[in-house]
Amino acid sequence: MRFTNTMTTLRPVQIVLLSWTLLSFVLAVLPPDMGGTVRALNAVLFITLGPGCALFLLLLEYMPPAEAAVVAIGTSLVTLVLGSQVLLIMGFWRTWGVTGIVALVTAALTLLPSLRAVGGDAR
Amino acid sequence: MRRRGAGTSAAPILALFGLIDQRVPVSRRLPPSRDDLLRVRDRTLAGLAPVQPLIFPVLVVVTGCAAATAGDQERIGSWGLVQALPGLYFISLALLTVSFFMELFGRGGRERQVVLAVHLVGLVVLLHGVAGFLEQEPRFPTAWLHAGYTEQILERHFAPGSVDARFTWPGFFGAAATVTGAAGLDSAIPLLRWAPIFMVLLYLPPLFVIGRQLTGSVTATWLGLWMFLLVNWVGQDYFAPQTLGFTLYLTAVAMLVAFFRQPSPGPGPLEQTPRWSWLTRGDLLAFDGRPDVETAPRTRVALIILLMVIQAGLAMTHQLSPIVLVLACGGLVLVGRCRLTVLPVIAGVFTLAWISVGTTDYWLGHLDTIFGGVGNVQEVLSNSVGERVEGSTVHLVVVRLRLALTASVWAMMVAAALLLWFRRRPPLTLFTLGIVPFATLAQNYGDEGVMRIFLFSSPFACLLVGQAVTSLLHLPRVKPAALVAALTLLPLFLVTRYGNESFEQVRPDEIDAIHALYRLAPRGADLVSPTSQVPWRFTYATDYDYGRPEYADAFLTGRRPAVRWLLGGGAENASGAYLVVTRSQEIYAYEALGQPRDWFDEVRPKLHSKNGYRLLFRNQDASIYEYEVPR
Repeated sequence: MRFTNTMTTLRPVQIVLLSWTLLSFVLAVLPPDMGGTVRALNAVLFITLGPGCALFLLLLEYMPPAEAAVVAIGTSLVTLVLGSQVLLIMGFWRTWGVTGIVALVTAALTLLPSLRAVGGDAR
Repeated sequence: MRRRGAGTSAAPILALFGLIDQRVPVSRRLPPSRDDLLRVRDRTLAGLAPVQPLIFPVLVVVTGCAAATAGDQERIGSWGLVQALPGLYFISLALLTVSFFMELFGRGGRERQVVLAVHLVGLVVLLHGVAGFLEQEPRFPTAWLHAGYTEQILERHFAPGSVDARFTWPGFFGAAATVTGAAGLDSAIPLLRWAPIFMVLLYLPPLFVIGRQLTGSVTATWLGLWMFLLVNWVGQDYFAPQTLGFTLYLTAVAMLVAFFRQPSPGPGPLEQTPRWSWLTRGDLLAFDGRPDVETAPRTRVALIILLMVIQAGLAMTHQLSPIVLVLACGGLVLVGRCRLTVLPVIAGVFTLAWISVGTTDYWLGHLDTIFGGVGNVQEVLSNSVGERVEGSTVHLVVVRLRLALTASVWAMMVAAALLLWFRRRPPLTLFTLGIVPFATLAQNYGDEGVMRIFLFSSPFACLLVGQAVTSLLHLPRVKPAALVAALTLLPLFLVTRYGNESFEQVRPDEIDAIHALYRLAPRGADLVSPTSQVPWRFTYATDYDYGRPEYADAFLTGRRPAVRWLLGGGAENASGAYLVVTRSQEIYAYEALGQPRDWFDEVRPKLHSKNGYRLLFRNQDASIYEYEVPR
């Protein structure tokens, strides 16, 4: 399968998601007691639902919104659980490590629609 | 001719709606005519039209939250939170319910779904956030304990499985520690207060998909969801692994019933028609609900992989949830409502693999706890029901109300299934999902077995009841009866859900006392509490030896040997021992353990130096004693 890189044509929503991902990661690695309630609220939303938001946008092309939301929430939560669990088992658990995994997955899912498969039905 | 220069106070508002030209100096503008004002009103109302149906429920919820905040925590008594809530809170709840049913049985259209969803979110906030609004500290000592386990991972980056069984399924604690760390918090305690709202909101999307798919009716789904929120008294929505496990369970079930239910052969891997299923042979039973959501083979492969990943995550998060998911998959395959016939096997392998490898620290010493009750249903029932039916008179009423509500929901599930069956719409999938949790009776899950069965069963029971009621809506009086039932369930929910609040609330002075305990007691000391209702271990969760008196029951009755030999006759801990008694424990022993109301007044005089005790700290809600084995 060949892929064409159409990263230069990122949609506004993708740019927003990528910016949110970057901002959330930066906020997460700040020292404790900085950022207050806004940081806390952002962390709860991004860490638990960040990958889900990216996946939801991707899935809308493949299934109805309600089903897409369910799959997205499940993926998001399981990314967090497994990311954290893998680092715990390896003895490398750190907040920035798990946040990094969540951010990477979010970024990858955000960019995925921009990597269109050439030929055949992408579905 | 209009007079110039007068009535200029409305000019900015009119300019906002483009009714007057702002470039004209204010002093030269004409006053607005009646027609102008009417036009402004009409335009404003037209602009508000899309959000108009949302204004009332939002206002009601805001009013209810404000009312709950104004409640008096000191008034929480044997009946729980209901005694402390002002009347305005109940009025808000009732108004929200009436508004929901008017919307549900009223107009149709896509916007109706948004309005109903806002009502549902409002109900979650009012019912599951009420303690957060009213109480000064986050409720429930076990949630504080889980905050301590979260801090253990946040600070020390590992989960010591030998300390507590929960650490051998650390998926939730690792996830919570990540959120806590990323939020810049030192502890997860600030998250405890709002965790129930957040987690219950996460239940709703999968439940909506399950309901819409299996009942085939959006009205039945909304009705079922409303009912679920009103009967879900078990309180497993706090900061706990069960909550995350339940969300993942519902997500997996939603995916199964939305994409993999129809017995048509799929070209993807693992997708086979369960030909041997006797129920689907020769269309013995009509297919229930909507057909599967159409997806391409490649999407289905991705979904199957995701289902396995969810099962893997679930296996590392909670003891019971992955087992129930295996049972649910197996049940659906057996009745021919899941074509992923290999999935239960794979899910079972994941679950057993984690128990075999990941939880050895725990089960090596607790084989009897895990397998001791297998097959002994009577013992399981006795543990989870019999042991709870004790305590004060009011507490017994609350417990019996819970049992009655639980039994009623299950009875209604069976009645609804029979009704739909007779109407040739057998709700096979929902009924199967509603009864498979009963299979966990074969395993002893401590004193919460029946509660967990109800947790896993009730969403499907409620959706079934919703479907049955919707099928009867053409009959007169069914709609008013549904509304009356929902209104009746409101106070019943508050009593059954928050009926233990007199000892499940956490008082600020109790927290002050525990902080004092950690200042006074050197690390490694024995910390003892007469009952389990103590909000400790929210920090230093693994740094002390936490326990109960050696002769706990006798200690509560003030028997001298039990008081004198707090830790039995064993070797003395070099770091010392400390006894902490809080008001919640005093109330718990009276309300739930059947002790006299003044039991601690009997015990307190015996906590003197001759028996080895020295009072170190005291405030209005807690006392801390240092204990040395008497010579």
